Amino acid sequence: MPTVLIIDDDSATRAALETLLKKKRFCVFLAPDGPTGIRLIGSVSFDAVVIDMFMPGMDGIATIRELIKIDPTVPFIAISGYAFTDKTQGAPDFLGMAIKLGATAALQKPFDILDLLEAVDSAIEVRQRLLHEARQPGTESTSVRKAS
Amino acid sequence: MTNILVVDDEVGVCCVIQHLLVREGYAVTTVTDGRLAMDAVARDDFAAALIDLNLADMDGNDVIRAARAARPNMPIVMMSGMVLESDRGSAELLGLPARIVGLHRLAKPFKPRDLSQLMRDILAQETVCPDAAVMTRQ
Repeated sequence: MPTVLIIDDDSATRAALETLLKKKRFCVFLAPDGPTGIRLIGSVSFDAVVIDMFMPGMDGIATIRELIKIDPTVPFIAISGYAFTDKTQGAPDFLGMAIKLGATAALQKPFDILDLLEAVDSAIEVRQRLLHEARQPGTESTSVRKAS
Repeated sequence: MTNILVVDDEVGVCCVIQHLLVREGYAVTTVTDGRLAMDAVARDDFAAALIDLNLADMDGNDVIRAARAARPNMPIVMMSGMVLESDRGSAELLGLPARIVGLHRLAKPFKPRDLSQLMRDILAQETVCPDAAVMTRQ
């Protein structure tokens, strides 16, 4: 059963995504903030991580940067409740930044449930491919790194 | 039901490991404190213990040594990312004799299926040869 970690400070979003993904037979874990999520990622190698971009303290971009340091093979999906894409107003495009950092998908809340499921399925495919490649002879494994 | 002790100072990590092991049909006791872990080992009979090396209140190595002293035949899995950075074996890292009963290691971050497989292997060993494992699984 694929494991999915959801990092979002909004409890209603966490609960909704947990219910949705569990119905689709995913094993779902929840973190209410970036530091908690990062500690979990340091211990367990999840098949996919869903990360909210706007969280107090450590925001989504900072969380992604830490995630990449710990486990660069983990695919992640960025979600955001704000459409900060209007560059004429000087607002940063966080979802675009997440994509540049390697997010397999970026979804604007409120998003279609099917879009999220498709994004998670796609992320898990990416994960399986990376793990398969890492197991090939002569391919440098990316799973050995400092944690805990 | 096979009871497994999980010791990690991160509540979230304990919950994740507990969830993964319960899904596999194990009963799980979680402890986030080294002292309570030593109390639990002294009090209850566990089929195996997973102990994180980096505990907040005390050195995980000390908990492992105490657990080994209290339950010489209980398989122990030491969890840490640090072991990957050393070529030394689990026992050497703990300053224990190189050949020691049932000491295993699980590198973080671990894949859930690796945890499941390790527990199956360990408990199968115990079933086949109860006083076994005069060996170190590396």
